[in-house]
Amino acid sequence: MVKFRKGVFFSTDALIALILIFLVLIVFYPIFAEIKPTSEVHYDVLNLLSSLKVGEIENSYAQALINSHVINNTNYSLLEQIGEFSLNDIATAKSFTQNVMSELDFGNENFGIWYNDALIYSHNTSSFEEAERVETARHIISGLKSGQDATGFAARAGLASNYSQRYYYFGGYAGDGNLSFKIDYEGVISSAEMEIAINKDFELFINGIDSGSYNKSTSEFTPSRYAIPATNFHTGSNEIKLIGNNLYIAGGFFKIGYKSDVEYEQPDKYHFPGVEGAVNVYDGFYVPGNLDGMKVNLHLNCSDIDVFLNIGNVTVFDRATLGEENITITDAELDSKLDYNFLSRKTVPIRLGLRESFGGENRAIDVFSAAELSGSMNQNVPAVGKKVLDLVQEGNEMFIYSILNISGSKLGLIGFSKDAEDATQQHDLSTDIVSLNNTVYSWKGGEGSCTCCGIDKAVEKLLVQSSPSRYRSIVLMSDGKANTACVSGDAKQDAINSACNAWENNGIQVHVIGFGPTTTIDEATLQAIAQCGNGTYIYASASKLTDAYIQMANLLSTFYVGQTVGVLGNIRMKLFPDSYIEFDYAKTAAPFGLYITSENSFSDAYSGSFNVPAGSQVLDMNVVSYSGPRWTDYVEVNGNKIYKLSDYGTNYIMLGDPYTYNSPVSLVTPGTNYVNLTTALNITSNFSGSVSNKIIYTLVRNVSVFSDIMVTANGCLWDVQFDGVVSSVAIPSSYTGTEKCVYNDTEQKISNPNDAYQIAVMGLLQQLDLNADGKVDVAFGAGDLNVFLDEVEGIPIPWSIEVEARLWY
Amino acid sequence: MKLKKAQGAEYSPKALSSTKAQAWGFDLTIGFVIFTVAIVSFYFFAVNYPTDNEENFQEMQYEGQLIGDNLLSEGSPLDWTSDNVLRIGIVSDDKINETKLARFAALAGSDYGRTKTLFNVRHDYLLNFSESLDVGGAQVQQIGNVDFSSENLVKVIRLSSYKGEPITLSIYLSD
Repeated sequence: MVKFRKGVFFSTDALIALILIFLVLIVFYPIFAEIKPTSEVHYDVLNLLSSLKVGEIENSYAQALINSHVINNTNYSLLEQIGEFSLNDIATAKSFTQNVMSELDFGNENFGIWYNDALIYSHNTSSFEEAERVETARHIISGLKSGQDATGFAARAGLASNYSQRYYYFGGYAGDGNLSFKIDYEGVISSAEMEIAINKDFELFINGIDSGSYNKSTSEFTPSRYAIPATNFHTGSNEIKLIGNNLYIAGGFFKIGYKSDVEYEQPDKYHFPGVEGAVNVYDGFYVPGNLDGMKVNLHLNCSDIDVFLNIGNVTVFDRATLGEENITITDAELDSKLDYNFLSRKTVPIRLGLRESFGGENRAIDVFSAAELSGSMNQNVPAVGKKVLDLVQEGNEMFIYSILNISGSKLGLIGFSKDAEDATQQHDLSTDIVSLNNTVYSWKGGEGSCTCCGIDKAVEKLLVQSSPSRYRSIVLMSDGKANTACVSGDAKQDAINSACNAWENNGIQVHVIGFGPTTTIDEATLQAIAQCGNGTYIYASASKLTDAYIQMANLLSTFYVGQTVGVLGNIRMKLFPDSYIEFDYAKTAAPFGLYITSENSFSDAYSGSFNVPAGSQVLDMNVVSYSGPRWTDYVEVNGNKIYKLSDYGTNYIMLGDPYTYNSPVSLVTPGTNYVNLTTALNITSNFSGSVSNKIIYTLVRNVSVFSDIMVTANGCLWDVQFDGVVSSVAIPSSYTGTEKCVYNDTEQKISNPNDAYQIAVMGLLQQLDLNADGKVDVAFGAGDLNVFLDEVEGIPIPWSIEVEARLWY
Repeated sequence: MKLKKAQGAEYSPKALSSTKAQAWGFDLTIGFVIFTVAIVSFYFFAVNYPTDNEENFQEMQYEGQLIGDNLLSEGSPLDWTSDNVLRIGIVSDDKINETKLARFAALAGSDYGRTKTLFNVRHDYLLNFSESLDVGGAQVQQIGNVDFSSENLVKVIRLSSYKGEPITLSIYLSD
């Protein structure tokens, strides 16, 4: 044992020694790296050329150039003279250098001289492109080109002022059914794209032309972006149709780039989306001045269903139509109901929807939400950072709002675990949102699961508190793993039997939301419950429980509508896309300059920022919000409130949910501006928004850029990065040279700092890059650029060049 | 062999020999690793360590650059003579100065060893201009030891100008 310990000590010492050896090797290895011989020739050449004056050199070629007055300034160093040649006459620069350098012996060295990336002279045995090692000596030279024959160039670059981008917004919620929109413009379109949060795959038709199939977006909070064929558009009025199965758009926009002689115009109309199906629109409008008058035109065909239009929280229309109707609500009518002053310079929510009273019938929904509150309620759901109970409570809160949005409907609550006898976890049928929410938020996780108890208790209460004349149903939320029986001793079979009893004996439908990990949930039992209860089964993952409750609420409503359609036979609902709200206000004159529309994504789910360059005038600024099933309830710009939903009412379900939130331009300042936004389910709750939210703003500025008077004006082949795309464009369009200039998010570089075109275009691109991120905010092609050149003679013109002498191995 | 029981303990020959073998085995492994590393390291250094020839070449290359740097400086003092020279330089205003060149040529002709000392070089050198230069009426093209006998030569090229003409200075060193 003692010997073994000694062995251990010895081994430890050996290990330490080994580590030291490795360390020494690592530290000293670089010392033994091969040191290759270096040469000073490149430095010598620059010294030689900069010290020797043109007038001093003993060279017949140089003398000939002096005699012929090609060289006028004999006080120039050779380096400067070659530089001046390189600006205007690269061939003379090369031959002059060749003559001067011919007397030198470079041995086997690979050597070259570059003036602003243009190779003037080389002596080499292997090419520069194959070099493994390069050594460079640099020298900056500058000078003045002067004399009567000195010609300089000044370039002016600008964008054609008739090029612009335009956004058409889809609204906070446009549904449900086939959707259509009007896009009006006058001009020549060059690009089109669409960003929307949409619930299902769809076909796109532009002016009746099939323009492709597109997939649904990731979620209601995360839109997808689609490139749209611009060739199907034409100047004037265009109709966009999205065809699919019960579609709705939860925010988005159409964006086009086009050339037009029509200058920026302030909006004077809000256009409703076209909906063929259940008309359901949550949106808003903004009047950027003092509202003097309004007119609403609704082109509707909702013969059997009452349609209501709320502006703010005021109902300005509420009835069914007699077939297809063009309904005009006059300024006088609107003025009597609305406070125009209150609506001025504000984003106003509007809501266009269907009343539940179809065909004179007035059957409302009585529904119990039966939620299984087992021990798993306290488990965390890492994916969403909440407990299961939190998700169940949020889902039920949304369900309460959705159901009670249907006038006359009532909702009750049954929270159950090993039994359904705890009265504190239950609520009778009610329309009291606050009281129902209080019960939901008092729910606690219990032990066991008696699903049949929950269903039986809901049936018992429905039989007492409702009547067969009303549509009665139960929405059960469970993982299907019932373990407490009621009658037979088989808990799961008892749950199925309870559902059968509800439907077969009492006409109460039992719908089921299956909730829990797919690996543990007993979907077979849950589907059997829904089947025997004549209901529908929906599975929900943890993060989708609220969506499932909303879907269930929509399903109940749809079922109700569908049942009514079945009774009445031939109901067709259609909102035509030529419906609008017209505003009368004093518009401000459009200022002169180039209109630039730019979009900045939010930096997180609550906030974003954008930059307004000095010398710009902001024309409009919109915050667009993907709020999903929630309402955007508060928006501020630079700490100033621009929107507060509760200013219009506390019952959010009756209020619109705009997609765009406009800010008075007076709140926007030069430099960085900040935007904050929150969403809510009701007046007491508060949530984040979407990281996909954006700030879209239009400003006008004079973007003509002049260069100084320079000695050359050749142009360049530009690689310009727009938002997501890199384009190559020759500027001027007649340029056929090989010089490369770059403007992207990693590099902004011109090839020749003495080229007037290059300097002017670089200045222009910098002005078009509003947030200085290296991406030009205005997409343009070669034809969109105006580049003018002026020639100036007889004045001294400064120039500067970087000279590089390179050795390579 | 049967072992006797002593003081209540029972010997197990198999267990005892096994423990010893593990200790030896461990040390042997470590020792083998160290030995292997030492062999590899030795090989590594042996292969990479410059040979005498390579070392000599590098030294000559260095000395050539040293001479070039000296010559293409203004020297010390700026208006140096053979009596006070500390550093030989033949350039003024980045051009070869005729007076300094003449002084250097004279010094190298009269006391070549001293120029080596001033340049701080061990090897013999020869400075060759790309063309014959007119220095005070005399033609000069080479300065230094013009009688090289060694086959080992190193050439370092430097560039300057003399009387308005670009000149290549080739500095040869021999061992």
